[in-house]
Amino acid sequence: MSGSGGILAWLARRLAAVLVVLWGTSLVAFSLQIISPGDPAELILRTRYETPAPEKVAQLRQRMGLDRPAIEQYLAWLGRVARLDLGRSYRTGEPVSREIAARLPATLELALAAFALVVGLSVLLGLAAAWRRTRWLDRLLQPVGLGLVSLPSYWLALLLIALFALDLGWLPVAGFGGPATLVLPALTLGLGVAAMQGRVLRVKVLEALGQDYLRFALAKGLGRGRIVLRHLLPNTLVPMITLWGMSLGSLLGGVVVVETIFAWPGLGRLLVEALLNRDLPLVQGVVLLMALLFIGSSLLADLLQRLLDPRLAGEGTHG
Amino acid sequence: MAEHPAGSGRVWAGALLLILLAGAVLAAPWLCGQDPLRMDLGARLQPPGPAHWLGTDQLGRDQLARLLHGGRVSLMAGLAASGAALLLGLAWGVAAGLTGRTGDFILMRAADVGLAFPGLLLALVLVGVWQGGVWTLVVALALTGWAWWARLARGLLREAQGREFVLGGRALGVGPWRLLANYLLPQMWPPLAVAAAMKTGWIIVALSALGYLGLGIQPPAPEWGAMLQQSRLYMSRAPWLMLVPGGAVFLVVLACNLIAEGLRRRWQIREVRWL
Repeated sequence: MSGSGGILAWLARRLAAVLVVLWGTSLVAFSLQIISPGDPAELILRTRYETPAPEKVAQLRQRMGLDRPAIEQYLAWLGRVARLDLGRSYRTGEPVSREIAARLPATLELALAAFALVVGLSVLLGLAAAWRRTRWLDRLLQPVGLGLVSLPSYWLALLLIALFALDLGWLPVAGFGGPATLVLPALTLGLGVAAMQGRVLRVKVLEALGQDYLRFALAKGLGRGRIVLRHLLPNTLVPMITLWGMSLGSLLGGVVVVETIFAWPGLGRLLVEALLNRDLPLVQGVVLLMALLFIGSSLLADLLQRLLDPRLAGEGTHG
Repeated sequence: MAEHPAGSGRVWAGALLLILLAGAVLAAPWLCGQDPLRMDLGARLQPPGPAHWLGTDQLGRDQLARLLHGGRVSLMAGLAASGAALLLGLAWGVAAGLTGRTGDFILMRAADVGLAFPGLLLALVLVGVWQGGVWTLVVALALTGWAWWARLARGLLREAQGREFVLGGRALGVGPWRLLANYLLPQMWPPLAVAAAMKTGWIIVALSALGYLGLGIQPPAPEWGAMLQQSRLYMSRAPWLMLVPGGAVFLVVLACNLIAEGLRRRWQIREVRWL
């Protein structure tokens, strides 16, 4: 059952499911075009400040294939997307893939910084629960954690700006470039998620502490540091990997708000601008990419967990 | 304190907070006689005082009135969206759990598609494309949230189906609908209640996040997120404009999370996973 054969079969099944889901997301992205009120051809002419004369509209409709049935339009669109041709922005006329490529690095930088914060802080918070000597810290962190989880990110952002940028003047209010500009956005994005993950890890640590193998290790007289490193961490952190993988996804979702507040030139802001401009191809491109990144990161986390946790090696798909 | 079950203090604190907030919002016309839309350019950016308890904004509008009237929309739309997502997802998950393998596969892959869009991405895009009023927001948020409920409901149903007394009931010849109503659903309510409290908080945050981004309820109608967005320019001069609406969202979400956390402890349910 276990071994690499098991994991390859598992991976093949997961990849098949992922393909089905990706196809589904393409349907959702395409249907935005259908549910969007108004005629895209007219919209394009308007965004280019041309008067939408009927014959011009009809001409453009024909050129874009908008006069054909929806299913034909979808298949043609899907074919182009599969070849990474996401169309051109209504507004700028630039290829969507180029616009996205220009904004992706900033988003990845922000998401990865926040992700590092989430992993580091959640482990610290979880471990604080494990030490008896820091029980007071655990008592204190419980309500703080609940508060952090309840803080809406946009308000947290404004509070951080008010304190660290306006009052103390330590960090810039907004903008992009250099580590100083990264601190507040990453904190805003990561703090709430870190608090939530810390709470989950804390429960896992407390559960593990009650189990026989740890009591036995204690009874054997092993030092606390050794017990934490050799017994507690491997058994509590490996189950966290899936959760972390998923948190990378929720960080990607949170990027929209945080980037707007901090004027961070990433995908999130690109999406909001595209929505406000009714720039459909750009919206579709960003949505597809974000779903792809989300699905990819959860798949990667699942794979990693399977490789690290021998107990899962023989099981079928879960969830 | 020993006679109280664990977590009940949190539940009561959260419920009380929520009742107070909802009561204040519902009693808005009596609590605060001012019109949330009436501008008074002579009284711009007034700090909190006897004339305006929570100060005035950049157009001289009374902030307490705006807060309370905005809260009506936020709370009602949030509850409506949360309830719709729950009902849709529950029906979906139960249907998946009760049909055969093929039906289960199709329904759950569809739910996976709904879950493939991180955070409020789907709601954002739907609202941005549709550009409607409050009901558009409710529908968009429900369409964003249902898949999570579908997966949770299906998992809970599977767990319940494995219990011995359910198997016993089935062996006794209890029909499928009675089995669902009397054996399966009662076991699912506690975790669903915890998740409902948590998710309602999340949806209210999402609602005002959309407002902040300029895609939610449109000005001049008061909305907490939009109020926060406008407070940005006056952060140093008029910090109350930023503290009040944000604090309101925070308190609502805190109340929801207190209820969720208290119920979870009381019924000893494991942490409900992922937002």
